[in-house]
Amino acid sequence: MRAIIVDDEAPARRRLRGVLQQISSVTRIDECANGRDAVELLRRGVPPPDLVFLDIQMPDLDGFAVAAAANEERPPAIIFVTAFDEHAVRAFEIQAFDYLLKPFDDERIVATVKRAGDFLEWIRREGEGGGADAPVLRGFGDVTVDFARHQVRRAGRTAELRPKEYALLVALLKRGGRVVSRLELLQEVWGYAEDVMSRTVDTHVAMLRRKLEHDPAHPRHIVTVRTFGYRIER
Amino acid sequence: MKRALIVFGAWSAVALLFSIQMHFQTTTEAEPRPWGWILAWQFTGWWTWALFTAPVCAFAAWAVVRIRRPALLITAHVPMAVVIAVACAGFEGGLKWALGEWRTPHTFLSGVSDGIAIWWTFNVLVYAMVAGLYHAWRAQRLEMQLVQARLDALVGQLQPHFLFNTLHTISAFVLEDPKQANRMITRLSELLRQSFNPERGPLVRLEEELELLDHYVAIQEARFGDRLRVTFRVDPRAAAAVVPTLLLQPLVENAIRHGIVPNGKVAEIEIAATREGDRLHLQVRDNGPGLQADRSRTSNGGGWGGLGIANTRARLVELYGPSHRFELTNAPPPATGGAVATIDIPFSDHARDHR
Repeated sequence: MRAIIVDDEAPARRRLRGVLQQISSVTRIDECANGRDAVELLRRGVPPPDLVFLDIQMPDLDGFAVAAAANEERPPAIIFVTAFDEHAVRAFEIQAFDYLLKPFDDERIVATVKRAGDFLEWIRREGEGGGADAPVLRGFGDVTVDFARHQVRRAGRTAELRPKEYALLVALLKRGGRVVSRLELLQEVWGYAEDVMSRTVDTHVAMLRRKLEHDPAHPRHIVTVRTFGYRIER
Repeated sequence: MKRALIVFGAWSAVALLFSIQMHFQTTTEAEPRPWGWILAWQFTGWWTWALFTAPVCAFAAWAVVRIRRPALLITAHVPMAVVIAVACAGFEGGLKWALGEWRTPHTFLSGVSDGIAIWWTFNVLVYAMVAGLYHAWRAQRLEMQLVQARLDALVGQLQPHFLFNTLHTISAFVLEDPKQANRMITRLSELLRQSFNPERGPLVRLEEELELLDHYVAIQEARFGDRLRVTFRVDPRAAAAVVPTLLLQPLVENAIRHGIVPNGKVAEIEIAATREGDRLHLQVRDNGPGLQADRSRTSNGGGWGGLGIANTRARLVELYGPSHRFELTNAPPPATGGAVATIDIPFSDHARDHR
């Protein structure tokens, strides 16, 4: 995977490079000291970057302006890396893959890169298969989903899901591991236009966890993204 | 308008109290005075004071920004107190004649002169009370603005993102240059220690302000490396000057934010302090794109119009009134681009208000 680091501060770029260099799936790392260079790379880079680590506050173009320039046909996984914690919701709304806070822990970067690698693989495989409008993850842990039969199996045995639970699970799997907001889920699964009863999503997620997770109190696959929504981890 | 109503209401309350007192004081007299007359008598007097409150406060406001020593300030009030006391008493006597409140026959002139004779000494005391209340109110308001400035400074200079970015930079240096990491930790600690110091008063010596700024600048220089160069040019005769605390930091923060541009040019920021006679001249200059070229400087998003700047402006107005100048302009030719923040205040090394 080709990664680019966009940050106006040199020590911050070196810090991230130091971690990425130790990850074998990252084969090339480039640095951009400003937003304009990053946009140039996103539009014309050969090969286009797969992982984009984006700072938010930069003097010319901010991280969101850079993210908007990403290639739509071969979208990269955009990972914000910032000292601001207040822009997370906006980041996930523009479908950022992850939102990391400075200063960070090496393990957090390694885990994110691994998930992003899986995510990109699913997206691209589904894209080649054609037909499907979004990437679909067919399972996680010991859970497998048969979309044709609307059947969910856990460790070989059928798990009984109610229609809304199944729809919620599909909505999460369709993102291939990317974060989905509560509002998005409400709209997609329940058809609500506004976030009037976000507890609905939470209670259904709790039910799904009880049926599909080993330890529903400490979910490993249906993960909460604080104040925002949920994602599936394989 | 609201202030006028408060002043008017306060004097009406005083008039009522004095009416009650007068009623009980005169009930034993051979000819008790009716309530209507008592109220008219008292309200004429105290509402006269309501009118004279404005010039007293205006004079106090004018004097306090020009006369820094408390003893001199009180001395300046003495002649004014006599003038106002006499004028107010004469006005009251005349008004009482016009409204027919004198119980013995009076002409306009004897009304005025009797008024002065009876009330001018008492009025000096009233003047002292009004001026004293004004100064107390002003001091309390200054104190509140300082608290606000401290909060703004914590938000401005130690905005969480500044703190986290600095920690992140340190985290990078921990691996590649532990000595530099150590230096940054020391600088950050010093900055935190000074800004959290509850004894830092509303006014500090310029050298203290520059010391705090030096820590702040050192951290920013470590973050941006070769792309930022900050120079201090301080006239030794200016170092002892007393300045409002945290006056320059928001200006430097803005200069850094707007001076670091992506074209690879080094952001050069100059912080200058000079003394010219009885004036202190402070300047923060950058070589960024300047004011017009960069629209964000006029927005409220923490640019030049941001909270820190607004607070700096408010405190300068409060402390120095019309005898200060605070300007944000583009650098004059021959400079190409860049913005200059200029503060011009009276020079004072006097320790009044200073610990």
